[in-house]
Amino acid sequence: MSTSKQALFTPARVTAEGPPTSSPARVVLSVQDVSISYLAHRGRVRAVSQVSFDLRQGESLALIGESGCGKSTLNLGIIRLLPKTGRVDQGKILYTARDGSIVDVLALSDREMRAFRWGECAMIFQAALNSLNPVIRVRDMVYDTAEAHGRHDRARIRNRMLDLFRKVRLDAERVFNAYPHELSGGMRQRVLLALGVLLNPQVVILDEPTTAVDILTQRTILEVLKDLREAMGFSIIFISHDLSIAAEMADTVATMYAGEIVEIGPVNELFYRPRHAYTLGLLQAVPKLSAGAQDLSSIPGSPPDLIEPPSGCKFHPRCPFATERCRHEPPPLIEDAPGHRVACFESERVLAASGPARQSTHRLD
Amino acid sequence: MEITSTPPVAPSEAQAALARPVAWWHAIRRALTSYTAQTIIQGFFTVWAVMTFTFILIRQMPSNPVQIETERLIREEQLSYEEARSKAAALFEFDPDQPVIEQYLEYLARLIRLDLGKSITSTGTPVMDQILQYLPWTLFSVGLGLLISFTIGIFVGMAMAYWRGGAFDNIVTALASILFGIPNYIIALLIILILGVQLHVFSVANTLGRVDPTIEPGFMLEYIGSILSHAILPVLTYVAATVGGWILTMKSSTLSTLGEEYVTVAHARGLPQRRVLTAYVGRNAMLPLVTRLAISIGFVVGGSVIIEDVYRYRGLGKFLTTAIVARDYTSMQGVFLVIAISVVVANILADLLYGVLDPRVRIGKER
Repeated sequence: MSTSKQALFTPARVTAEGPPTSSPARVVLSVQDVSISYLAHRGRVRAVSQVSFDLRQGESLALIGESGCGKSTLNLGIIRLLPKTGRVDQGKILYTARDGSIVDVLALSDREMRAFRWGECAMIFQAALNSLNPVIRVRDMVYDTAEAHGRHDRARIRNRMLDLFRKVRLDAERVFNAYPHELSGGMRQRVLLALGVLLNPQVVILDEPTTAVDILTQRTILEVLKDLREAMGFSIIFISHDLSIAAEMADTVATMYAGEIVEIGPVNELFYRPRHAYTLGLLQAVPKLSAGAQDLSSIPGSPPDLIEPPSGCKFHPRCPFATERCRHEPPPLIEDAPGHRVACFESERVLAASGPARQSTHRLD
Repeated sequence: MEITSTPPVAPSEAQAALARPVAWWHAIRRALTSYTAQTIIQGFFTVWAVMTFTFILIRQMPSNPVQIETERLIREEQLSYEEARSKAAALFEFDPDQPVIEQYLEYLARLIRLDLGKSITSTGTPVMDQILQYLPWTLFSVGLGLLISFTIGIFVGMAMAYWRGGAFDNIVTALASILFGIPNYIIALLIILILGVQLHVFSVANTLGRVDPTIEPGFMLEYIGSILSHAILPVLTYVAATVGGWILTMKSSTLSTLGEEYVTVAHARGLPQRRVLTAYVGRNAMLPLVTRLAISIGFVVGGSVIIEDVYRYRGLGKFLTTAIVARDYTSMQGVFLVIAISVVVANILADLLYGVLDPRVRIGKER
């Protein structure tokens, strides 16, 4: 059973503007050995297999990886909103409430689950443009949300919401009474962010929070997110294709490949000393403003079939470091450096090769 | 001189006097270009176009009222052609030899005074009176059928989408498709044949017609009961013939709404299922059906010519059939006009209703 002990890693404070947390902060969400599959015509698709990680209070965890690697599925699994064909096959998701009690999210009743969603763990979806009901006003969605969680004092809700809208730099009164179509994409994303923290959740999951908005809006949203986090101290799990945003926002980064976490560690460790060939490949695929197109590399091949995944390490068919061993034996996720776990037999060779990759990671600011 | 002696009027007042017609002109132009005015003007134009078109078409039909009556007299009273012809012509205030354009202009002139003219075959009876006598029956039976059908369609369609792929969904989809495919007059005949003749669920003779003629009209339980029992079959037929369409439309509309991000987000916000189904799924899924409903309401007036004929239900549809057979031009024209107007009005209502339901298409300023 791999549910026993998680290798503990302390979130490194890489961003000076992060929220002040007393270290070591307590674990808020502990995902243990979770596997999720979808039923397809050809069989079960193992979208997430045996994923484990701990999320600490105030920590920001970024999940990176190609499309279809299981990032979104994992998050939908956490709030149990998988499509009808999906199901959690095994594992535990332990959540520590503010009063210190620990519950397994997967064992909650429907009613408890409804209270957990948004009240304890809010999820902001990527298609913010379409996340708001087009036929009702923002304020009705706000009241809906609050009343679903037993808060009926409309005046108080309203004041709190207006306050949060101002925090995310919105014209609070106008937005509160507006219909979604009267707001721009960036405004809607901020409405959703503010609505996400209305009930003061401990965990906020952001699925591609900055996709589909332009670069300036993206900047505003990130700043607003930082402000909110500073003020409220919630933990964040966020999914991103954009490594520069991950580098900016995250304390911890987890690389996912074919439904597994293949490498997880403090952001600087992972980005400057990657030990998994796939992470290295992702970093080398980041375009640099200063370089020409010829320096851009990509990872050859395509993501594996998740119904019949390759034997051994799932990445071996695409991996330049692969050996005979990789083809037969799946590498375990073990701690290579303090707080830095990796599932790769050739991690030392990858690390040695990652020297040039250091320059490729650049920060937006 | 006169002009110089006039005391200098305050310039502002002079300007105001000068500006007044301009302001008027602006107000009129604003009113004319407003959405409501445009819709109304458009509606008038549509009704006029339909009226003109049917006016010409009706008179292009072979034969005419006098001809038909002449033939009847020859057949039934064994008169010679000349005798029959002069008798028929004397009977009706209608001259078939009058040029169509003259007839049209006369009709138009009366129509402007809201006069639909007099029936040709029922000499002296105003068309308006005839329509008012038949219209309520059709409105009642077809309207009730539509209402029941729409309501069933909304709920069943939503339930099917919600439990898609299950036994309920599969069975109802098959049934709805079959019902949707059968023309309504076939359904009417099947009901009479199977329920009436074969199974004796009702007595065919007693349910035909629109009310038991032996019962004195009035606000009495007996009379109202008779109306209802006579309406059951036509209403049942309308429901059976249209419910399949509503169910299938609502199902596909709900399915696409269920896939919308805001529904997932509503669940993620911890909203109770009930609230998600009504305010988030139901309301959005119903939007495309509202337009269809309003358009259907427009056609309620026309009724179903064949269904009313099968059940001897004397509504506007039956009246229209009789008018067509006798080539009663003015009566036909009147019915067509009423249908055109109600379709146009229903469409305008659909627009307004859609605006209420969907803020994205709401017109005008709110604040």
